[in-house]
Amino acid sequence: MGFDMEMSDLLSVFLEEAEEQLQRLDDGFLQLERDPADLEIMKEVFRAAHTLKGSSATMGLKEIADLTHAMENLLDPLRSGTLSATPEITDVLLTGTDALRTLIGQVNNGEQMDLDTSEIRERLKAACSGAQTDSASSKPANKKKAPSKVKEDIEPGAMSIRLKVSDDCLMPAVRAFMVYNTLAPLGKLLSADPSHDKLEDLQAGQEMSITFAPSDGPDAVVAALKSVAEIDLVEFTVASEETSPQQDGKPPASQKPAPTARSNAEPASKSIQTVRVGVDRLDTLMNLVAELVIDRTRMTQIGGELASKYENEDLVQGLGETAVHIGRVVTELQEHIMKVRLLPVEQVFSRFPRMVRDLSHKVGKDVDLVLEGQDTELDRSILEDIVDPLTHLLRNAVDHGVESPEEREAAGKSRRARVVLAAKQEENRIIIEVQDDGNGISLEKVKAAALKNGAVTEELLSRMSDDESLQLIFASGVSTAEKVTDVSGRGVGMDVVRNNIQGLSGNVEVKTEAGVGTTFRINLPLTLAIIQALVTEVGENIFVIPLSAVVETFRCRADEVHYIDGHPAINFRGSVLHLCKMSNLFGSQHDMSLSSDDGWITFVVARTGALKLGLVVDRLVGEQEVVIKPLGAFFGDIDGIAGATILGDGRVALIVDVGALGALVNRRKRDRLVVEAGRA
Amino acid sequence: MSKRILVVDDAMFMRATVKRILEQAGYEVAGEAENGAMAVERYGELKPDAVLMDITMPVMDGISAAKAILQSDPGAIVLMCTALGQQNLVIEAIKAGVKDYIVKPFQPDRVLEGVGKALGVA
Repeated sequence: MGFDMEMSDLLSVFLEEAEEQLQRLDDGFLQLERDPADLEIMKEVFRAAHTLKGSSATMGLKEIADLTHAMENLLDPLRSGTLSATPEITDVLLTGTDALRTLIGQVNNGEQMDLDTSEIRERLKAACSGAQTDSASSKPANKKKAPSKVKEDIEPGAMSIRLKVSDDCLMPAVRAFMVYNTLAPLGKLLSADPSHDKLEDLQAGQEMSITFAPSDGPDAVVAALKSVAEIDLVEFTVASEETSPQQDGKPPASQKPAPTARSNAEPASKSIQTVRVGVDRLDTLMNLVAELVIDRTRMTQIGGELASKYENEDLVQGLGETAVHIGRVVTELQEHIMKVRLLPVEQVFSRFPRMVRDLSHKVGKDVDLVLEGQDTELDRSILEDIVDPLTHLLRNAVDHGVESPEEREAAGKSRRARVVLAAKQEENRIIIEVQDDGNGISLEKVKAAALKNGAVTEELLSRMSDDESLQLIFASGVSTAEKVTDVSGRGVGMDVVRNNIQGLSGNVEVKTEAGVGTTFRINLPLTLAIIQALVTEVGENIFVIPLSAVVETFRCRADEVHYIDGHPAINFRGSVLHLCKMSNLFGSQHDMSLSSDDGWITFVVARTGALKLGLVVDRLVGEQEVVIKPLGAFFGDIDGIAGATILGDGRVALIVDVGALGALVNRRKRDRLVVEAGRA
Repeated sequence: MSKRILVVDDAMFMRATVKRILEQAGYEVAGEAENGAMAVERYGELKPDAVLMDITMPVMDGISAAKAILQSDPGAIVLMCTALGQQNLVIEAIKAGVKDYIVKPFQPDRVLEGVGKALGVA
């Protein structure tokens, strides 16, 4: 049968599942390290290796199949308890998982698999030697055996049957067993070669000889044998009446008992109907819904205008009711699609136990990573982008946050340090905390580093509270390397962490207590695509400010404004608040002075990190749900603008990137050594 | 009418592979299940002509599932999908009434031969 198995479109399914299996292996081995006696975990990792072996072999990925096979061989005695896990064994299994990851990564990137796994396979094999080896691939090593001669003297009516197992049969012993099994109800087996207890000796391509006394004539026997796959009937003869009975065939009950089925008596789980959908489809759906949201807002507005114009028209009223209903449905649709895009943070968290384990081994720490709130859900695009910041924070926690076991003991703490990675939802924000029970961050070192790098001046520092000074670790130029020690030479500073998080409309804060530990608290929005925003007017333009960044709105008299080095600021609730004149931020005019017709200045107090800014606008329009659209390649990245949106009345509005504005002000402060800062 | 088959495997990739082989040969994949417990349940709902059943699966393994299906329907046609090295399990399954087995990695011809013979159509 000519079969064209086009596998390329199954590759993505394979890769996706392979990723899950790898994660399961990693997690399992790590847990195993903690508790080598946990057989449930053993079963699970065995299954993962087994599945991966089967799938990769089907994909024709021999290198991966071979390696998983070798791992499976080691896992089998571990699972059955004939071998117990030692740190060395866990190590080699983890090494194997790493190699698998590399190989699968290469497949994913469309590269050649060029990793030689023979050494790892040797190590896996060596690790097996504590137990009976290779039960998962027991191929009989016996020599080919000529089938014994057909007995001449057999019972009258008995059949002598010669069968041949196909040359490419993969489990000849099972085929032979099936032959006996098929024959059993049809009569009496008189003799068989190979015999029941020697089935394993049978090789593919070999012949079997059977003498069989059919209870219903030979035809049924022949038909039955033909139904067994991979078995060919070579010939059969029926003995004549004269021959005498020769021997009593043993009934096929002398079979070596097979291992008992591992019957998991768990109640049948309710079938869960799931469909896998590509991310691009979700994005398309989200975009379409976003369009609807825009139209909904516009429709409500038009409906309102129509209603005031033609108050008593039934049609208008009907239209208004329909519009309200469509609006409700769209809102619901939007909520549901947003939920579909949410993924549990577990998808990201699950990679960290391994990383923490490896790093803590490397730097000589004993660290217990505790994951909490793994089922907290977050938009998938945000999820992808918090990997790097979290990786950085966790590396810091292990490398610098917690002390060595000796130091901890000396300080009266447990030898094993504890790092907690926790996620939770607070209203429509997601909070992720990285908490260690180490020695805390030395405020003096942070201050010294910040001064040295010019992030602050002595005078400014002298006015800062401890909490404020601590946040300086996020200032660019304040090297984390000097904060405590070297950060594994990655050259990624805390400012990058903060910038990444602010890029997600989030913020990060740090708290520390000497001798007790440090907590980083990341605050993220649930989703990025649709946000609540404050709509403002500045001249002809409309600016929308994400509500998540808005602290309050305020008005002051124009004569309350002071100018610091030419830039406007006011005394706001006892501290200095820098004012950003939106009209010239993106415009051509550079007149910094603030004035208005009625003598009042309106501004929106927005927060980015620890900094507060006053964004000066002409008029506040109101709150609205807006859909963020990128500006497009034509405009490129414009500092201070996060994107655009279309309002209900069809006008285009720019979305203010408060984080970028904050950075602008911070830069200015550094450049010009502005002494005062608007700190909360 | 084409024969309807229930495909049981915990790996979606494997299900997709088998499904393709079967559908190219004109069979209908009546349903899929990702563990033994689901297989038993779906068998009852779908009453397929045959079941292709993986052995190593979470929740309930394929042997237990095959046994449960055969107990409820002694005429059920169940084929085990197995890896090399699981012969003892296969033999146990056959003792329980499983019709045949197919060895992974799947070769289309083998799968179709096994299914065809078990269903008595080849």
